[in-house]
Amino acid sequence: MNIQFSPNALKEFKSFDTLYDNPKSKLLPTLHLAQKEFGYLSPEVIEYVATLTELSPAKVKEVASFYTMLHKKPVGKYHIQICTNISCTMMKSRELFSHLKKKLKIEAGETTQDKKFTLSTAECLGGCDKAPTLRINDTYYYQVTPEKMEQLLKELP
Amino acid sequence: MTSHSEPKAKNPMVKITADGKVIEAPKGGNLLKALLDNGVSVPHYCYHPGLSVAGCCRMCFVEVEGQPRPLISCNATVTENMVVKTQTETVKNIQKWNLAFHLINHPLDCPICDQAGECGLQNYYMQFGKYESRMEEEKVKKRKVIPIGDHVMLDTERCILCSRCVRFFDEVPKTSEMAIFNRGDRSEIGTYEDKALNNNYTLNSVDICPVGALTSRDFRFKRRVWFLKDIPSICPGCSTGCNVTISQDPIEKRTYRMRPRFNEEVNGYWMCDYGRMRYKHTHRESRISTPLIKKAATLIPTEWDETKHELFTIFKTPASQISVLITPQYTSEDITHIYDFFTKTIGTQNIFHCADSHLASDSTVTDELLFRRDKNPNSQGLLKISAHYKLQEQNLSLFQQKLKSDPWTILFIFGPHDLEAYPEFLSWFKENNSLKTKIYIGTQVKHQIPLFDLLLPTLTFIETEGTFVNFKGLSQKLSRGVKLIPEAKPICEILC
Amino acid sequence: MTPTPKIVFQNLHIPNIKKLAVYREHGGYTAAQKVLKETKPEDIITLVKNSGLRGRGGAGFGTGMKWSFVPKDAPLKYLLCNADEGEPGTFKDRILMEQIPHSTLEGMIIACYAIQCPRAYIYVRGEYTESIEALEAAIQECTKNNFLGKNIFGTPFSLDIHVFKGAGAYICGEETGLVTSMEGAKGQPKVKPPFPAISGFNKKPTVINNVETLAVLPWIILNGADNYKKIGTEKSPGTKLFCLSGPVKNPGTYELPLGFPLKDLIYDIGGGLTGNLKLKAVIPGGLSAPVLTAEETMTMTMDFESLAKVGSMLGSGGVIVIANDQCMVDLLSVITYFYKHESCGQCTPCREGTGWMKKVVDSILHQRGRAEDIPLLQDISTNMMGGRTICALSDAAAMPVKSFVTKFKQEFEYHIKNKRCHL
Repeated sequence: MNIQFSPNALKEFKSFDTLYDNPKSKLLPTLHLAQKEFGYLSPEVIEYVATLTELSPAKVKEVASFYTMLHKKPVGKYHIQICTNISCTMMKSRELFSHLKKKLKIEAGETTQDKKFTLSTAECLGGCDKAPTLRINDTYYYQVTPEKMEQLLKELP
Repeated sequence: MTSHSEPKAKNPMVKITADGKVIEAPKGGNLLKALLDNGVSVPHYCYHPGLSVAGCCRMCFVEVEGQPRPLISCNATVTENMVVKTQTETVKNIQKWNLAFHLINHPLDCPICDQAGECGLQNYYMQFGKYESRMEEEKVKKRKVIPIGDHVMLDTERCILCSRCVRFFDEVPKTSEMAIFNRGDRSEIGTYEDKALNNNYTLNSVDICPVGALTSRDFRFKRRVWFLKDIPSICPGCSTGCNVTISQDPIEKRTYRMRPRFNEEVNGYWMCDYGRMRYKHTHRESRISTPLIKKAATLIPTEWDETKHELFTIFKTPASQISVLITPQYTSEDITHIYDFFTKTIGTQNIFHCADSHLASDSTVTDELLFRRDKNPNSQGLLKISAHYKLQEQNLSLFQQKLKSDPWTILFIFGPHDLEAYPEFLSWFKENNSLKTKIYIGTQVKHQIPLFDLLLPTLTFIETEGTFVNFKGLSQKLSRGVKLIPEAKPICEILC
Repeated sequence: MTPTPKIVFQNLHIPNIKKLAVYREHGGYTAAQKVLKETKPEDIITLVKNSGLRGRGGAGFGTGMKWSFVPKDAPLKYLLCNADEGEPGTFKDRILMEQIPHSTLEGMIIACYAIQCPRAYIYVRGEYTESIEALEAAIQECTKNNFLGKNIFGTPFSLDIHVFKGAGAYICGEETGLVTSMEGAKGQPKVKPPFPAISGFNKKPTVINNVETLAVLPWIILNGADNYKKIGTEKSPGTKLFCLSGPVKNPGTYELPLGFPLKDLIYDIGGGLTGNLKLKAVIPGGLSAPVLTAEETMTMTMDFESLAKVGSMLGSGGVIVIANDQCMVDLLSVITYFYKHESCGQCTPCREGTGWMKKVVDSILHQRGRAEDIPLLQDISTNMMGGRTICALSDAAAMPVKSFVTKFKQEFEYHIKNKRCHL
């Protein structure tokens, strides 16, 4: 199976050379782009990025494995990331997390069978004053109680 | 072939003080290297003079007068009159704690780990550790026993994440095949998807790994290092002449491994995997173990007395009927003896060599770094000596011509020890009827065939003292190790 | 409560202040124009030095001093804006970026002119999608209107700014971790020396400044160093954005002069604790700052020197209020998990120490603790700090452990002795 960027993604990839003096700088932006295109960074994607950036696959995987936001395994349609750092914990984010684990019947880091939800803990998301804070994909939600969570889940298409 | 962390040699030497002793070091040079080169023992894992500086193991702390706190010496530069202290209480405490941090998750594999006896953790623990561990929690577990290629076995749990191997593959063969994945104490050393390392320098990573995370599959579980004796020598694998250290068990009379020895001019800190495996042809199993004589179409083991008797008769043959063929795998001393004996004592000029003069001086490397096309260690030596006797034109192709036309009845072959250099050796011997007596002097049991009338076992490079001349014309000395075949004799004792 | 001077938040509540036109209407880019048209780069450095402005990201290093380390005649230099706001309890930079993105850009233009660098990047943590969008829109507006690009405002100075998106790693908020991340590697900090001002991004002289630090610059240009020093304290001039979180009635971000009493932040502005909760402890400067007891809190003023004097720090200004409904052992377990999760793993004391401390605290929390564990935690934390590692994450991990175990020893002892929580 041959992995390839779509024409738009390839165009964006090529534009990285104008943004950075050092060609190596484009690795992280390329990984973001690849994740957007392909959903997650499978070995095929890693190897494709390695070819594009002229780096060894070991180096590409090394970088991909370092960052929390880069996924080496598929995530569900909605990736729920609940902050469990200090301020959110004091505002009961752990209880929210347990509630969701029970409701979705998955453990931390796992995806529901219908591939709709992945549930993860997250470190401080910068929403401490509106704790508990969580993200679903790229969107922030604040002051999320279990009831508010139920409502949120219902509303997700 | 100089290391990365050093300035060009022309930096002036300055005086610095280390633990009260005045030493000399290149100005602007690496402080840790300066200390180590002057015999000041500073613990370190991640620093290696042949690689870039990482500064991550945090073992090489020293105190420098004028600096507010202790600093790592591998990231410090030598300045004139600097005063360095390596044994203060502060430094010792740092060393002890940083060693402890290295050990808290390290598996207690010593009883089954090949590195035992030459392990960085063991050594420093005995030197300045000797504390009771306060770590009572469960250790981090990681994957073990992962082959990453034909030569290297990986154990990610033993790894102390010094990154020497990562930097090695980045900077020396430049294949960037190893990396440290993940973050924090889940960091794991490895190759991409456990793929095999694919270059001719993989075993250097085993040499530089301070612990048993990377071990040699060839050496695995074979022998404890404290039984081994190290002998300095020269690799016989090609015309580069990498300096090596051979490890033998003198009681068992067996060679276990070859590792590179630093030589700034020839091979730096490294040698290739191909060269490393050359020690295998010295094993008893590969060797002709006694003189053999052909009786009624079969080769029968015999005593040296009988062969001496045979040789005495053979040497009485008219000189013009005697021919000699020499492969470039003998020391210059042995080769000189052969030419001398046959020209002066026997009086024949029919001495031919297998050296290729173009190949012998070819400096092109055929791999990433050191391996050259001429798979013989002493072609230049052989050529020089043959020239001295004015016989340099008498090469293998001339030999093959004359074999058909000249009235030779006796042939002496000084055969190759490393058959990989001459996989087809002897294949061109099929038809020849004028030769009445063929004498083979060599080491490899593969050549023990009834084609020959007399087979005489001699010594391999490990068992010989002498000189190899490399492609550049550099003469380098071999030291004699343990004799592995009791009946084998040096050339000078066979030809006399 | 008498209103206190506002510097970076002065235009916060103006509708559409995100837009270039509105920002300009309220004085935006006047400072940048003044700098580019009328002032010499070295004079800007002197001005900022004289103002006493100290980095607002956490380290508190003198901004003018940092700029002055950059070799003047180096052919290529960079400015990197550190928007990798990851210090737990801190959420101020996102407000500046989301709501007043032009203030960061204007600050960057001033800083880049001062150090004479033609290219700058804003390293934004990957999770801050709104900040990235706001900054990119603002950059586009500026570029269209010749506020960025070639010959800004018709002067000889050219500058391009790009946003660089992080990917979820707290360590990329460390200066050299940020640089390494931008160089296409894991965001692992570099050994120092060399320092970034000499050899940073792509081995070129680089200045790394926090978002808030840069946002202050236009005000200092327009109002002068002396007026800046009139606000705050002698050693800590100016204002700071404080992020108040925890069980208080009014959590949020507040711009206050340095030297402001901590108890007033919590009880006046913050409205005090919710319900019947009583104050037990406060972490004053983001998670890494050593914790203060309730008693210390009542007399503390929020400035660099006062906090340093009691062994804590102003840090990022993230004020985390801890009430008496919390078990300090439990909180420390959460805290140690964070550092273990975020340690880059490069150097041994931090990589192993963060994991070890987490395990020991968990043992105490889960009723498996031993009396030796308390001195053990103190010893581990002591021996991870003070220059033992490549960067200060190790110190940041050690300080909460040391301060919690020292100041709230009785809670740890209770767990160990009674095999249950005191709550």
